[in-house]
Amino acid sequence: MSTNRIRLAVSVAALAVSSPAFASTCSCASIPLLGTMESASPNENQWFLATTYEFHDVSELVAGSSTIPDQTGRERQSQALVFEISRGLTQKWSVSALLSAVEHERKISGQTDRASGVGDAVVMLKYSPASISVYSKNALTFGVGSRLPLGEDDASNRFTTLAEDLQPSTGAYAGLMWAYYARALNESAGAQVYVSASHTINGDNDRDYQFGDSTSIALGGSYQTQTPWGFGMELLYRHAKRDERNSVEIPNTGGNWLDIVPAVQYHATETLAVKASVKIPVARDLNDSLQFTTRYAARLTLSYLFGE
Amino acid sequence: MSQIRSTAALVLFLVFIGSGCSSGGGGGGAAPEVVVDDSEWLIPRNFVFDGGPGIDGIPALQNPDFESAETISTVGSDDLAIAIKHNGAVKIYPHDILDWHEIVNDGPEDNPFILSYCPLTGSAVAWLGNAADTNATFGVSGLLYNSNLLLYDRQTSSLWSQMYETSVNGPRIRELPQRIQLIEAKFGTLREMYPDAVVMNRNTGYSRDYGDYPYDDYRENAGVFFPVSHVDNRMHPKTRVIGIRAGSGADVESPTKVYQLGAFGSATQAINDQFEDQSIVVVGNTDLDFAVIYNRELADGTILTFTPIENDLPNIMSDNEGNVWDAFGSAVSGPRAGTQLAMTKSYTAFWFAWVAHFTNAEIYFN
Repeated sequence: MSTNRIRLAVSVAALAVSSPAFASTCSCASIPLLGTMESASPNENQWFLATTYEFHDVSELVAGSSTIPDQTGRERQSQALVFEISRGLTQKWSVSALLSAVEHERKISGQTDRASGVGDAVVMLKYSPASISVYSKNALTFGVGSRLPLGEDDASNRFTTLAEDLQPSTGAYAGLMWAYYARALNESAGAQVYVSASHTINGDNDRDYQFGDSTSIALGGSYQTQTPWGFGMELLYRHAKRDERNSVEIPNTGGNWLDIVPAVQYHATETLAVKASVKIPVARDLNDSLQFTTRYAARLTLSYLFGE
Repeated sequence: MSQIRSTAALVLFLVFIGSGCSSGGGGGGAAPEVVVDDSEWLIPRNFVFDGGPGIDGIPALQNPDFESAETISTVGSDDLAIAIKHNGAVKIYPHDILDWHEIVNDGPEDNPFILSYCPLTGSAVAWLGNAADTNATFGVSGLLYNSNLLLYDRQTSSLWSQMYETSVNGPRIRELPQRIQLIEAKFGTLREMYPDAVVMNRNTGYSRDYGDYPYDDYRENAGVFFPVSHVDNRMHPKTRVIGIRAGSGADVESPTKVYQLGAFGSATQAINDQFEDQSIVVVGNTDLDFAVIYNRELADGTILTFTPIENDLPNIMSDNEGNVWDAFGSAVSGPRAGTQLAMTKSYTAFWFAWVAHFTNAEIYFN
């Protein structure tokens, strides 16, 4: 009984679209690895595997908070495949690792610039002082980690090295902090509300380019029905500082984004789930005069929990 | 039974991963598309940067709309603008539109010209188009060299350095365009000079906030967005200078000399100077925010000496023979009325950009 409840709690937590950086492709190369990380923290000796496909349409031209017609026929999109593995070390400690493969594409005036390959990776140590169980309706997890620039950050077209936001990897290390709190609303823990927050401190790459530090806060709820289907909804706020090169702020980068992220999950088995979510902009207030940003993003995740 | 289900689930998971690797849009370690261009470049490629928007991501304008300088309401008197005299008519192009488009393809089909303005280097030049081309227009390549605009011509897709005024890559490499004289000044100055001029208006066909400068405080701060090949701290990087160069093409060691726009003062100055083997006159006024450089040696070998004229725009100087000359270097009265001073290879730019392109820059000190 209690095992089932814990599993349900984990799966509902996974349903939580808790994606502190789901919006973070915006106009930058930082693929939302942290956002892709599932909020579940497996119990001791459990393994959690997830693979996620993401698609970002980054073709929206925004002046401040207003969408304006681009009129250049430009298309900009990013895709990522993210693999996550988490392992419960003890009842309270777990470790997660993510590896990504990324493709960015920019089409304009008959010219296509595309770069793909291994992107950044993330390692994160999580501590969960409270977990939802028969004794507790609350779950609390903290995580600290690092983003590792494993991939290529100097992809070129026939002229020169592509802009930073077209590179598969940011080429820079980053420090990550993450916190997640959930509360079960009923005895079965099938309904939960949660809040999560994350902060990313970016380093600079070997071209002295630094993506702006970002902070994200997500508020959401999730509900697992008595059937294999579950649903979630999240409101996601993200703030990013301007990017910098040689410590000079780059205009038309950074700003504030507010998105809504509905999600649906299907449990093929007790331990295998498929989740789909889409990120839809609600409001934006972007720095300076003009930025390309995400028109929408979609994500499909297959997750598998196994072990004792 | 549950063990079988778990195994089946794991197999399904791995199948999903496998299919994702092959269909994930080039992910999964696919090699990036890198096409090495081994054609010749006249500039060091390691200082050529992708500015981000891509080719034509900053859309060049084609035969824009104009309205009268007397009636246009969207340009302030203190706003910077560029005047070009072509086919006998003066046209004015406000910076606040050029900031967003950088290139204007204008002029009649049989005598087109290209005005380019790079907001990151503060430089503007104008070239005659090649009327023989089936498409004589230029576009913004999305590439920058030393932070400066690289144009591309739509006839051959050759890349052109704006500040070197030559093609630096492609079929037209080393080709030099034919320059047109332009005057950069406050709009109020240009309007006073040429009240009958027409001014490019904001009906460009593009939705841009022309009243909003797109680069924050870039014009005043010391920062440069893209690395440059040579740094010289003798002046603030964004000091506006008018420079003159010797030679032609992409020659970083060309002798050059620069004059600070902020040093002319509120009274117009005419500096009769010598640069290399050229006798030149540099005329400028800080308050009016203009400066031009002409060759003061005439075709007959006469070398004139100029003195400035105040409060008689567009006339800015007179010479030792009693001729009066306007801002475009034409003698409007006197024994040489109708004579045209020869252009020099000169234009206004931010100091950091000038000295990055021409490392031997001499600074004129009064």
